[in-house]
Amino acid sequence: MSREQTETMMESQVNPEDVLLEVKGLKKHFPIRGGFLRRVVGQVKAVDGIDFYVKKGETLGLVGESGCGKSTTGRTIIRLYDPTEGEVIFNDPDMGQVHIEELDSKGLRKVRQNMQMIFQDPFSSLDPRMTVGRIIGEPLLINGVAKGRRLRERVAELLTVVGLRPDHASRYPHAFSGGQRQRIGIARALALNPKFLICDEPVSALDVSVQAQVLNLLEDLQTQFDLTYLFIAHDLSVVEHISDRVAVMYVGYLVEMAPVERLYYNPKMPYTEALLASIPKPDPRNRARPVRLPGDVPSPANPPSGCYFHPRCQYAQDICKVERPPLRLVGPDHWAACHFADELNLKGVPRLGESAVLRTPSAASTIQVRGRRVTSEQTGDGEARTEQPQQPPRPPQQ
Amino acid sequence: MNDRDTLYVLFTMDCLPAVRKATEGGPKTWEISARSIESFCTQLHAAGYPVTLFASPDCAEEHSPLLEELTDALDAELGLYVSPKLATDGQYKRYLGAYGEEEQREIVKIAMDRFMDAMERRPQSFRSAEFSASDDTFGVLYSLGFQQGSVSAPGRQVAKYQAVWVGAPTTPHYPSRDDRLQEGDLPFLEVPVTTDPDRVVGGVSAELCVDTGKFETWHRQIIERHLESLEAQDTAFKLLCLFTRNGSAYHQRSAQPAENLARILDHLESLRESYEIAPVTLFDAHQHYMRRRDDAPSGA
Repeated sequence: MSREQTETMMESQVNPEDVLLEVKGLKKHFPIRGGFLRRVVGQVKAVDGIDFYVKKGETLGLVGESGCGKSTTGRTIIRLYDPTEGEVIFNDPDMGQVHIEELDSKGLRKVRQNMQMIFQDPFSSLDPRMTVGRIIGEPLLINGVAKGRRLRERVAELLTVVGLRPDHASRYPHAFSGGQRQRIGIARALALNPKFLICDEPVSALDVSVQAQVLNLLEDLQTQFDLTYLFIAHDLSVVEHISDRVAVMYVGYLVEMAPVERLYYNPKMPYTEALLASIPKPDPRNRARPVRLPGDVPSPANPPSGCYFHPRCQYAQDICKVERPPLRLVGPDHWAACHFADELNLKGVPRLGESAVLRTPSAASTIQVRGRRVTSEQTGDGEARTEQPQQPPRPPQQ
Repeated sequence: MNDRDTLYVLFTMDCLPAVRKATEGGPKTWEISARSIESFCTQLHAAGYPVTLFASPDCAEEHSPLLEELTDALDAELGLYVSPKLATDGQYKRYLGAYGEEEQREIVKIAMDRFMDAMERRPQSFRSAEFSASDDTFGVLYSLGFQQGSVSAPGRQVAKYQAVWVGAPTTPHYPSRDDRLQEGDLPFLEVPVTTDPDRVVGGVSAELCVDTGKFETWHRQIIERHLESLEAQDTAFKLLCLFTRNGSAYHQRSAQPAENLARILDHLESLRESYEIAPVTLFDAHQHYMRRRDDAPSGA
């Protein structure tokens, strides 16, 4: 998407004063080295020119399959990676409008007081040799915000805020469960009273039984501290639960972005439809619940021509093979990168009212089952019958 | 449906100290211990089975927040695991069964006090290291307030650990006050780990340890043999008691212990055709046992 289109997106959809973070044309390419001299022989275009904004106080979900560039996006925004190209503009409450990509280390340290990250794996993101008190208090010490008694008090306060006990400050990470460790990571991220948190798959390493606890905590903290989240995840159920708007990434690009209801119930990009259709049935013994779509994700080092999704798209036409569709406005605050976004009638998740119904053999009582997970309907004679998905109309021939 | 017998299933884990202090197959690090315990409990909880954790005092001290969460959120039961050497910081160097009644009381009391300091709760269930016990042990445990234990491994005969259980009952029972191998009237439920007492190697019977061997050649055979034995004896209170340790890599799905656990859970599902499967903690098992005793016409 071009700069002009981003500005159009901003101007048409949101008051600039409401925007906390704006990403324009962001690229992050990693060199591929080969040969005896380790020369650069190619580029992995992990993020290849994406634009979006995050409004103050909202949660923007960023979803996509493994390797699509969503974590790289988060890490580039906070400058754990230096961007290859593009702008990251942060409306810092203390510093005003800041171009993150231009900051030196001193500036980064300052801006990170208001922009923090929660990492995916609480088992590896906490230093096992440091006490919980040191882990949480470290940002306060480094930034000269507190020390001594004031530091201990702040650590105790943060532990309480995330639902742990102040006396846990003296313990080491191995004393805690995965969920408790993620709470410690959240407490650390909150230490400097940030306004913006990048949550990089914060519950995907956790058991399903504790995911909800951490999600609820994040929601409570958002209300309590007026936080804004960029919530990166591959689990669409989790993203639906926590997000106000959702952006879908595919091989380094944003392919759709819309308010959560619109995107889940009325997707405009076939990749989003495929992702929604692949939401697995809940299986508590399957922790990872990976998204699996037919076909392979193209390599970001050697993507296909045209629309990157066309080799896997059941609606692909000739134009899709040669021309990459821009991300364009297809509805109120709804952006999609598909040549046929206006023509296709794609299948989202069923609304609760559209849920399939399980009828008991007596047919006297019915059980509402959350529709999205249900693909079969039990008939009165006890026989299971599989519902055939409605075939979406084909796009017009070119 | 209703005429199927109930088969109670009890999963237990011995939570030993990290290896720098242990000589009994403890985990290499506390980190491995934490992840093993949590993964074992969460996988079983997801399948509907609560776990009974026997925590050594060191483990209770190191992992108290984790153990609290597992008991609160995943319905795990927390019992006490005692190795005299570890529990008393080397003051007592042999295994529990090697000591007389008063020394055993002292050892268990020291371990129990450390456990209570760490967990702020009193343990009611008990297991000793290496299944070591003497004829005094059950009485000592009962006098200290323990209500149930999983102390015996029928068929085991390891004299150097004072773990001799040849001829011991293979099903849950109230033991005799002065003979560990006999049933009696001490209202302390002893739940033996499930073994095949006829398959003994090196003094140790084939025990239903989740992290030992492979499912087809180990667990399936022990389970089948035990169920045959229960049917042959027409045992009223049928129970499988499995155990493992916190050094096993349940957090690595492709590791053998995790694979064994998955296969065991699948096998338990298949047993639902023949039995009403009832997952229990050791505490639960005792409650069910008492109810059955009360309901039985003879009171036996």
